[in-house]
Amino acid sequence: MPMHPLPDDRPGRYRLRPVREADLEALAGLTQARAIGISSLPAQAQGLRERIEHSLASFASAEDASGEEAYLFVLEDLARADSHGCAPLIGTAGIAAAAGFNDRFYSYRNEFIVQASAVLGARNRIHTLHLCHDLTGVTLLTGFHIDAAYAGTLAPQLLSRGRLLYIARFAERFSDRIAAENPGLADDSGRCPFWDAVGRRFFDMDYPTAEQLSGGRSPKAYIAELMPQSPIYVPLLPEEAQWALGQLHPVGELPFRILLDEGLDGDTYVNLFDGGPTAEGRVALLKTVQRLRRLRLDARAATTAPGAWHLASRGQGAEFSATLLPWPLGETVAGRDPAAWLAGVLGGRPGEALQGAQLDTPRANPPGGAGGDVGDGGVPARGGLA
Amino acid sequence: MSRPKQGDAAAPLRLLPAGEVGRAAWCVRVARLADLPGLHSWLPPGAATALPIGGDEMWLVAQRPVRDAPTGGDVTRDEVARGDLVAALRLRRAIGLELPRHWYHVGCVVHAAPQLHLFQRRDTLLLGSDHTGASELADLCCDNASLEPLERALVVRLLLRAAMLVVASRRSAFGGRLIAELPGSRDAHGQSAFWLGLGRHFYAGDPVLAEACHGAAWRSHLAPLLPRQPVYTAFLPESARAVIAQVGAEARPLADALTELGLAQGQHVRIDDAGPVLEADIDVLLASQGARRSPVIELPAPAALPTAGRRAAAATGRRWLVLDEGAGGPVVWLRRAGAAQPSEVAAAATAWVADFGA
Repeated sequence: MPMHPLPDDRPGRYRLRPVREADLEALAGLTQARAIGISSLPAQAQGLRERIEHSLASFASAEDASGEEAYLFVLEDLARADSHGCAPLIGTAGIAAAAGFNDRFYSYRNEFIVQASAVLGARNRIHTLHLCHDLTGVTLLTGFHIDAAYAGTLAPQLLSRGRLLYIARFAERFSDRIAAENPGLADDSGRCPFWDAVGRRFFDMDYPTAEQLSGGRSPKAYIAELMPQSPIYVPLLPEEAQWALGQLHPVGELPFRILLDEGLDGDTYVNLFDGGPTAEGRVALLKTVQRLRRLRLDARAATTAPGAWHLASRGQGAEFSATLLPWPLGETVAGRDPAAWLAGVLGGRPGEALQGAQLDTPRANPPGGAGGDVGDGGVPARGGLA
Repeated sequence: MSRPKQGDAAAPLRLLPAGEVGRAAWCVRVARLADLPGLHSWLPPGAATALPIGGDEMWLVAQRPVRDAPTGGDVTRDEVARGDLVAALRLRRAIGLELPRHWYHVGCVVHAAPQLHLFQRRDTLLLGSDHTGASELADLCCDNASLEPLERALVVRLLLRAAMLVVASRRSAFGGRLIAELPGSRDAHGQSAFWLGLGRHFYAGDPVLAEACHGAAWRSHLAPLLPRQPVYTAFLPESARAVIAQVGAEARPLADALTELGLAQGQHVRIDDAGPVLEADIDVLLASQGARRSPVIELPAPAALPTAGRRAAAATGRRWLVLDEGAGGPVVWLRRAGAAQPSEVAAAATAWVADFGA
């Protein structure tokens, strides 16, 4: 239950930035909260510290990156900042530069074959799962995780798509293909129908144990070698598992919808363990990436028409930050000069140009005004789901 | 009389006349058009009843000639023609060369992760046509109503051994390996747990009906619908796994007879009910049976023997299969060997023979 009034969308309310050492305690608190998405962050402080260190090193690394970088972003609610200007963390999300770095990234690929017999008058379309390494080296979007209270706001859009701004602006660090795993269907006790039908028969242990053993949902090579190497005929699986295949756990629905809207395909690959869909696509074809452009303050038009919501970002490395705002901004924002206001939210020099992309949302707020109607999580009506 | 060793071809085989000494003499020969009505009366429903066309298949039938054979003289070929047919078998030269045949190869994969102390053996089924070109003993069936159990065992053994003698006499016409499919385990309603666990997901029709419509060849039309990649048996229900390579109850005597002949369970099963496919190397089989060409001396009838003791002794000689080539195809007789006689005729001919035991 939120302790504060339902959050609304105001310009510059949310800020996405790389994680810092000082965030350790807040991060630990976040993993405990009721959330949308599944955090891939460890629960213990030492593990968290290591993740933060790795992220700091990744953001600081040279442009010709090796591929083992893992970037961790945090989302702040600036409207709830305390008197010291410290805003609470409401979400995290990450990027792994190259999936299965130094090893292989395992996936099942959905394939269909048609087999027929004219004499017997039969024709079947058969679904098979093929173990593959297709996504090895692909950039992975990881660990989307946001406080459930913000589900109905635009905050998830920034948390998810803001990463794409970073990937597009610093493309030499990443692959030209992108993917995101999503949690498959499992009940509250951790029972997973797809695991029971497939993985369990080869591991002879329950899903949480296997996940722990393999260090997460993406199995190490020696784990994946235990799985059946020849294609799995889906008709042979129990009905419950067939139905669960490619289905999302409810906590994964929001981030998955955002990715589909960006233009990722969610039909081709599924996770080895829980059968959750792995969305994938080309970076260059993503909606946010295609819309990426410079946002210059001096190009603002004096207009009373409300500007459309945009993602906007600036800065390199650890200085990167992004927010949501209507563009063009009005003559004043929250009673201040727009350039000064922007520098206050994102840092940097007043008047510095931003890199941003338009969001599809039916609610374009008046510049400088309060947030509009709280909708259904920012799912765009115009343009629809990809 | 000691069992002649292979290669000991010089020693002539002395044979008592067929049908002698009050015992009916069996023979195995090729089925003819005139035989069909008699066969139809006891062939199982759905059995193939057409005479083979061309030389690739021989339909061998076991015939019990008229009982109470006359004590004097040989049983003539006319009398052979009047006897009851009590068993049949199809001998095929080289299978799957016109209409493809398919079997599942039962394989094994090992998955090991030493770090986790995990070591798993997993069985797989891979659809293939590994026995293409092999020779086959198929469709063996008996007139169970007219045979007593001991007789049935004798007839089955006779039919199989006679088929092997035919193979020996035409060795170059056959290939390297011989197979025999056996029906798999089914429940009282003729349902196969293996079919329910696997085939059913790829062909929705009734396999029993399909077999009735298309005969055994229906499986050649089923195969294009079945999975082409290895299937882990771990994905099949336990009830299906349990019957892989299990012989159906009624076919167990046949399984025993084939095993005694020298065939053994290989790595393949049928694609509908997972019945086992027995197999053997033909040369090894023929060698173990001692099939060979031998000069044959036809002995005079024992009634002409001076003493009752000699007549009795003649009745306990070893039995031999002797192949007689004729215009209508090979005929294999079950004969008794006898002792040398002062009045015997010199060896008139050589024939393919095999020891049938005491």
